[in-house]
Order: sequence, then structure tokens, then C-alpha cells
Amino acid sequence: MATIAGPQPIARQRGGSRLRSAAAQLDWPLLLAVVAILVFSVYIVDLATAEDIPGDPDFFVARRLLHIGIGAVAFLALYALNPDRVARWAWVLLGALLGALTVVFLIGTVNRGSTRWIEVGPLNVQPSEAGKLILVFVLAAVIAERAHLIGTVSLSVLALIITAVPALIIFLEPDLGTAMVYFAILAGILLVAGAPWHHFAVAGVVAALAVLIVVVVLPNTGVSVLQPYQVDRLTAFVDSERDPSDSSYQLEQSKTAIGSGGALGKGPEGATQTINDFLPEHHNDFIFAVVSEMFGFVGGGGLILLFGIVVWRAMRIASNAASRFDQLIVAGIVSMLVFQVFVNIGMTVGIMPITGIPLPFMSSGGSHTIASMAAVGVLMRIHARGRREP
Amino acid sequence: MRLWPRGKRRGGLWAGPGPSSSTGQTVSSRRASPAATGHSGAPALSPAIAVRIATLAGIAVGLLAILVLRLWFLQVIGTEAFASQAEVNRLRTVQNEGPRGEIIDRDGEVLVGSRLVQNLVARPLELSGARRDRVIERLSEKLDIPAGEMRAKLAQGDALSYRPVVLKEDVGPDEQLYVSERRRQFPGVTLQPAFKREYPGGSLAAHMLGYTGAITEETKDIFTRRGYLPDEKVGVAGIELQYEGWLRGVPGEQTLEVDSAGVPVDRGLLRDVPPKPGNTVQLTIDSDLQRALEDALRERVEISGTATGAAGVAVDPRNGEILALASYPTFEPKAFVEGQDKKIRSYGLAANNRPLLNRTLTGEYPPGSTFKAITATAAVEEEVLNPEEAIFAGAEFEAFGSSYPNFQDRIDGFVNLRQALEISSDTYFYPLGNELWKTPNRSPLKDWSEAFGLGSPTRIDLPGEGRGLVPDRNWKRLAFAGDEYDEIDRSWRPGDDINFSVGQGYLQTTPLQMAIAFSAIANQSGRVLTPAIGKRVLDPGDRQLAALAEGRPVRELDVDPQTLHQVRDGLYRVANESRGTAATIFRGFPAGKKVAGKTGTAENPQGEDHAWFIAYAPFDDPTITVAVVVEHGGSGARSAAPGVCTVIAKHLDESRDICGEPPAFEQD
Repeated sequence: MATIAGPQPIARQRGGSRLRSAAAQLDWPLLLAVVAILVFSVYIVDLATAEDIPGDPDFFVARRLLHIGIGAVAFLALYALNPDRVARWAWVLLGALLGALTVVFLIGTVNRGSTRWIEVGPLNVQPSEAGKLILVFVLAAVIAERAHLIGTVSLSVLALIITAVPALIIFLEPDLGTAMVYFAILAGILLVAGAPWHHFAVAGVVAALAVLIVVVVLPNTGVSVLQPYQVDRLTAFVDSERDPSDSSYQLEQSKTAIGSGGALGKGPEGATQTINDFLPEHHNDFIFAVVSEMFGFVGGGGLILLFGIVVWRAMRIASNAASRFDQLIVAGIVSMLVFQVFVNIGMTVGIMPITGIPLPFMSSGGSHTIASMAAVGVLMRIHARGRREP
Repeated sequence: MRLWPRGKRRGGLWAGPGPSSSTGQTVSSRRASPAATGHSGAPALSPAIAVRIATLAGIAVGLLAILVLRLWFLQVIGTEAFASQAEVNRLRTVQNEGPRGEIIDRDGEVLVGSRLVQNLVARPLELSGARRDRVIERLSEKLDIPAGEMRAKLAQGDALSYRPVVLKEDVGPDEQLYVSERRRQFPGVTLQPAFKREYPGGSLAAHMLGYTGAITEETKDIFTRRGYLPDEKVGVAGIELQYEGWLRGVPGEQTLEVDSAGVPVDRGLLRDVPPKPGNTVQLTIDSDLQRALEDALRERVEISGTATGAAGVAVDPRNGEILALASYPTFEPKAFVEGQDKKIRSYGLAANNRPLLNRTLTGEYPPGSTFKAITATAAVEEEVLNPEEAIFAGAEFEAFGSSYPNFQDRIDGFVNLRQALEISSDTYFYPLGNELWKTPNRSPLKDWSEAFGLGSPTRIDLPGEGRGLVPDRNWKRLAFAGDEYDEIDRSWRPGDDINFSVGQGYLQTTPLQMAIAFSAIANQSGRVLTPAIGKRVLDPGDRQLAALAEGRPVRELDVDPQTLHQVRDGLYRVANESRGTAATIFRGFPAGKKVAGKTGTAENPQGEDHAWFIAYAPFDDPTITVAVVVEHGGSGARSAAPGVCTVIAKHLDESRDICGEPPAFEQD
């Protein structure tokens, strides 16, 4: 790409209108990419769920719009909020998160089932989603404050503990997928913070051993850490012929939907896998399969490209960030988004386990949409106060 | 609290992420103003950190690239297989049974019908893994179907993959409602309409109607070639088998678009070949007469005390149409519809004495004295007998050192043919057998037996008919070919024809054969008819498609009408004259409805004598011939004749009270 030179098109002038000034501070490609994905999500949810609730074809779309509306408020709020001030409350936020997670866990225990929500009036608030963003702030703050300790085992372990405690509660809810997102955030932040490579190596080995013990060794000794459905889901993608459980059924239907979409898709009318309900969770975890069935490689690849634009702009913001703290926040958010995108789409195309991680900005579900949009608000804020490039 | 370092470092060169940033970019020295950021910290992009950011960017882009690559493989390279899988998912071919035709009697009364039922079926392909377990659990809990049974059926169905498996037949209305309201809870499970054979008359005419059953492993190929589906029910006995081609309903086929629960979607029906209902087969049977005959047989067996079964045929001697045909013990064809061991017992299948056996066609019995009508015809026609001449019939007949006793060593005195038939004198007929034996190079009794239709199937339109046995020289030679027999055993001796003459010895006949033989005597012109039980075929709109009973072969006996007249006279006397063996029973019939017949008490090696009575009426212009045999029932006059009488009374619209008491003493 040719070097872009010359003066900045929009001069930042104190005397200019505030609106123009605010507009100038926005990263427009990022914003447009996110808005495009959100609009696409509304369109797809509308197409995919028109028949789901008899007599109320707009049920899911209305909810989707409501969530995006709340998400827009969260975006503006986080954009307005000075991250530094959030950072000051980091430990308090972490404490509040742990408290909320504990409440959810206890409710789940009482109900004898998987619970991830606290009901607040008509809304179900999912603390683990807000927790992703809180974790980003806490880790960034803690590490940035201890920049002189970066590279020491003690700081890495501190960061690990901060991550692992809420992740463990979430894992016990049980919500394995979200717990994994927390570790992805940790990994991204430590990576950009400059933690030594051998820390990652050790963590990787430990993680592999843990998976081995949890999935293979403990069940064989009679202790089951994972719920049976979790083991099913995690192993379904390995060999769907061997394990014809419901998870592999979902996976087969998802692959069939995507594969049958072909290059250009079957169109909203012809997407029988979606319309006729073969595709499970088609407005939710498997929404990418809907996109790919209806609009083919062009649609699915285009969506991934939009996520690519988000990554590109976010990395650009990181490199121009005003501080290590800002940088680490961006790193955490990028890790969070990319990990979710990869695991969710990877799940629908059969290269990742089925973990119930939503596709950012696309899947139905309020909490993660609001959290993701709030995260974009944070990115925008960091962009606004970052270094300017020609 | 200071949570971050206030580093003063300036940003250096940075290799940014993404394909567009591989080349170096000049980073401006401009940076965020302290006012905007809220702090005065300098940007912190050391080369080491830049590498880290680039690494994160690289990982992110790499992961997205993997997804695009995978997508390419699925959607561009592998799309065909998935597209066809999506079609398999979407399209469902449903076969709809065509109702099997009804079987009705000559007056239109329904003997076998079809009832629409709903079967609970599952498609094994759509019901796999955890889904199957869940559905089975729910079904067994809510609908009380044994889980193990369902599992086994589905496991069997897996091999056939596309064919639905019937989990439960004839689901009740409450259960239908339960399942159809919760279709999403039972993916892969649907209700499928089917038709079930219904028998309004219970066991009425069971043997003749037969039953339907599944296509077996042995017959699979034949039916598949004829376009049957593997799970169709086909006729396996009786009329159901005989007229399978007319009765069968041809299944239709629908191609539907369905959703994941197997529920057709709105635009669902893509192709529809409607099923064709089967045709109605009308029988020559008169249900009322059939009922009377069955009641009579049961009554005769119950009264006799020794009988192991009974069979009866009523045929129209003018055209061979079967009016009633019954075998006892009987069963309920419903047993084969229900098909459960427990129930079979209550439908009579477990009774002694082979209830499924249709004794009218397959039961072979020596005809005993009823055969004398044929011996008489043969003797007159072969000119060894002058029917008018009175011959002395003593207590026994001696020939070649053997003695053949009269029935109960009775001395009958001088009797002519009419009288000999009336009193069923054995010693009158023995010499005739002896004389006929002397015929060179021929066996007249055999020839006349065959002329009357014995020894070969009557070719009634029912499957499985027996041929009986008319013995002759050649037969005896083969039958006694074993080493344990000598040449004398193998030769045809006078005794063989002497026994033959009174319907004993090796002769075996079915009740139907005897009814046809007597019809030839009854119908004045000596016509040996081919009996017919199917009358015609009607399409579902009641238009006639085929006349089954017409044009059946008829053979006329080469006999002097006068001879048959003599025989008929004798048979009339049996039922009407003072010494007639069955006169006490039939005497009461008014003029114009007089009955003629012949008793038979057939000795047999198995036990008690078989009781026979064969009669026709009205004597002057017969419209019915009835033959009844009561297996091991003893005396023909006492055990069989009363049954015949009630059937004829019914046919002639007389009360059964017209039938008198059987003779007080043993009669042949």
C-alpha cells in the first residue's frame, strides 16, 4: 500500500463544532464494519426466525433490535467513559463480578441446571458477558501498573489467578465456552504486555495436561468434571461418525447447511436447512451457518472479511494507543472478539468443538451483543485519545 | 493510585498487522493531546511491543484465514455432497396404503372390510443417537410401548434405512392427539394412516375368507416383482389369497417437503400419486345359510361326544355356486390382524383338532355308503345290474373265502336298487363290486368315480384343495411297493372292489367333491359342475369388473337319464319312505320341498366312524345340495343328517322344527 502522506483531512480545531470534532475522533472503518455486521445480523435473524414462533414472526427481530439499541447506549457510555477512571475501580469491579457470578452459580445449583443469567425485570442479565470486559480492564490495569514486573513469573501468575477465579465459577455454571474466552483474553493481554514466550509454552503444556486429565483420565476413574453433554459437544467434531449424539447431529446439519449453500448461496427462500428447522439454534450459535446457506461463500466469506476489518482497525488502534494500558485493553478486546469468532464459526464448519460461544455482533442474545458493542465503544475511546496518523 | 507507568518513550517504526501493513509505515510524531487522553503518558510502542502486537494481529488474521479456507472447502469444493444431503433432509417420500377391497356375500353383506387406523411409525434415519434414546424414552413412558421392542424394531429398520418402522399399530384417539400435538417432541415419529382388516361376522366363514399377512422372506421376490412394497399385507389363505390381485389396494406415493421434526411445511406437497383402493369381491355365499351351516356343525360335534371336527358344503346344483362352506372347529381371522400370541389363544387358534384346516376342501374321508349312489350308477351303466330286480341281501356276502358283513349283520331280504339305497343294504352292493371287478382291463368303479369328479380337485376358486384318492390297480401296485408287502398285497383283488362298492377301502373324498357328485345326480342331466365361490368383482364405484362364477367348465356324465332317475328314486326313499335311513328326520318336508339324500357311516382306522349325510332339495327341482361329514361322529343318520336338515330347512324358508328326530337305532 502506498504510503499515505499529507495533512489529515479533517483538522482538529478547538473552534470547530463539537459534533464534527467527535466525528473526526471516530474510527469510521471500524464503526462501519461493526454497523454492517449488526445490520446483517438483524436481516439474517429476520429471515431465519420468521417461522419460529407461530403468529409472531417478528419476535426475535424485535428482541434483536432492542438488544442492539441497548448496545448502542452501552457503546456511547463506554465511549464517553474515561478508561483510566474505570481502571481505578478495577478491583471493585472484579469483586462485583465475582459476587454476581457466585449469585448466578448458586441459583443454578438450586435449579439443578445450567444457569447463566440473573433475571432483572424482563431482561436476563448474564454477568459472565459483562465480565469479559471487566476482565479486560482489570488485567490491563494490573499489568500496566506493574510494567516493571512484566516478564516475571509472579506477574504472569497474578494475571492467571485474576482470570482463573471468575473463569472457574463460569466453568462450573457450567459454561465452558465463556470460561475459555476469559483465558483467550488473558493470553492476548499477556502477549501484548510482553510476557516471555516460555510462560506461554508452560501454560500451553499445563492446559493440554488439564484437558487430558479432565476429558480422559478423571472420567475413567469415575470422577466427571464435565457434564456428559459437554464431553459430547467437545468430542463431536473429532469423529462425528463414531459418536452420533445430538451434538454431532447439530454439526452435521450445520455442515450440510453451509456446504449446500455453495458459492453463491440458496437465497433466503431456498435455505431449507434453516427454514425447515434442520439447523439448530439458527438465530443463535449457528447463525453463521444460516448466512452461509443463504448467501454462500460470498456471504460467509464477506462476513469473515468484515471481522477482518474490525481486527485490522483494532490492531491499528493498539499500535497508536496512548499508553500501555490502552494497548493492553485493545489486545484484550481483540483477543476476545477473534477467539469468539474463530470458535463460533469453527464450530459451524466442524473444525472446533461445539461450545455455545455466540458469534459477536451476529448471534441473538442480549448480553454478549451489549458487551461486544460496549467493547467497540472502548476501542473508539482509545482511538480518540491515541496518536494520530496521517 | 498509579496503575500505569508514565513512560516517555516515543513510538518508533512499527510494522502493522494485516496484508496492507507488511511494509513500513511512517508513524507521525503527533500524538494524542493530554486533554483528550486525560493523562500525559507518551505512547509506548517499543520494537518489542510492536512485534507482540504484530504477533497478535498475525494470529487473528491467521485464524480468520483458516475459517475462509475451511469455508472454501465446504462450499466450493465439497458443495455437491452437502447439497444432496440437504435434499435428503428436506424431501420425504411417504407411501400411503390403498385400502384393500371388501369381501361381500351374494346379498352384499360385508364379510371382510377395512378400517382406517393410524399407525405410529418412525424413520430410523431421522432418529439416531441421543435423539433416538430420548424419543424412545418418551414414547414408552407416555404411550406405554415397550422400549426394548421399539429399540429392536428401529435397529432392524436401520438396515432398510428409508422405510418407516411401525412402532405401534392402531393407535388410540387419545394417543393420536398426544403425539400430533407434540410433534416437535417426537422428531422422526409420525402417524401414518393404514387399513386394518375387519371381520364383522367374527369367525363367520373364516376358512373360506382366509386372512392376510406380511410378505415373507420366501415370497419377497415374487411380490417385489409384482410391484409390492415390502411391508404390504397380502392374502395368505382363502379368498384373500385367491383374489389377491383384485382385492389389493395399490399404495400411493407423496413427496413432501418437511421440517426437521418430519412435519410437512406449508408449501409441502411436491408430488402426489393417490393410492388406489382395491376392488370388492362378491361371493356366492349366502351369509344366513352360512351361519345356519356353521351352527349346525358346531351343534352336531357337541352332541356327538366323539366327533373331532365337521365339514359342510352347500352348493347350488344348477350352477355350482357355493352357498355355504364351513369347517369346524373354526377360528377368528382377527387373530392374524392382531398378531399377538396372547390374543391368538382367545381367537380359537390354540384349540385342538387343527382349527385352521379347511376340512371341506382338504379333509379327505372315505365316503362310506354315500358312495352307493355312484356304485349304483356304475353297476346299471356297466350292465351288471337290473335295477328293478329284487336281489337277496343277507347278513353277509362271501367271496373268495372272505366274508363281508351287512351293517349290524342285518338281513335285508329281497330288495331292488331303490330299496337297497333306501335301507343302505351293504350286502346288496357287495356283489355289484364283485361283478364290476370282473370287467376286463378296466376298473369301472374307478372310472365312474372319476366321472363324478372324485380323485381330482373340483377346481373351486379356493387355494389348497385336496384331490382325494380313487384307487386302482396301478395305484395299489405303487402304494404297496415296499419290501414289507408281497405280490398278493400289491394285486387288485375282488375284495378291493367289494369294499370300494360301499365307499370303503382306499377311497378318499373331500366333502366338496361329494357335494359336486351328488349335484350331478340332482341336476337331472348329470352335469358335473366346477364349484365357484367368487361371484363377481366390483370396482370401488360398484361397477362390475368381472363375472367370476360364469363360464366355469361343466362336464356331462355319459349316462342314461333313466339310470340317474333310478338312483334319485332311491335317494328320495332314504329321506321319505318308511324304511329310509333318514326318513324320520326329513319326512316332515311338505310336497314340493321334498328332500332326497344318502346317509353314510364310514369306517376308518383312526377311530369312531365318520358320519356322512348328503342331500338335495327340493326333490323335483333341486336348488341346493348339502354335504356334511362329522369326523368320528358315528352314524350318518344320527350325527350328520340333522345338521343337513336344518340347513335345507333354512334354505327352503322352513322352520328347523320341520326336521324330525334322528332314528332311534343305528342306521348306516
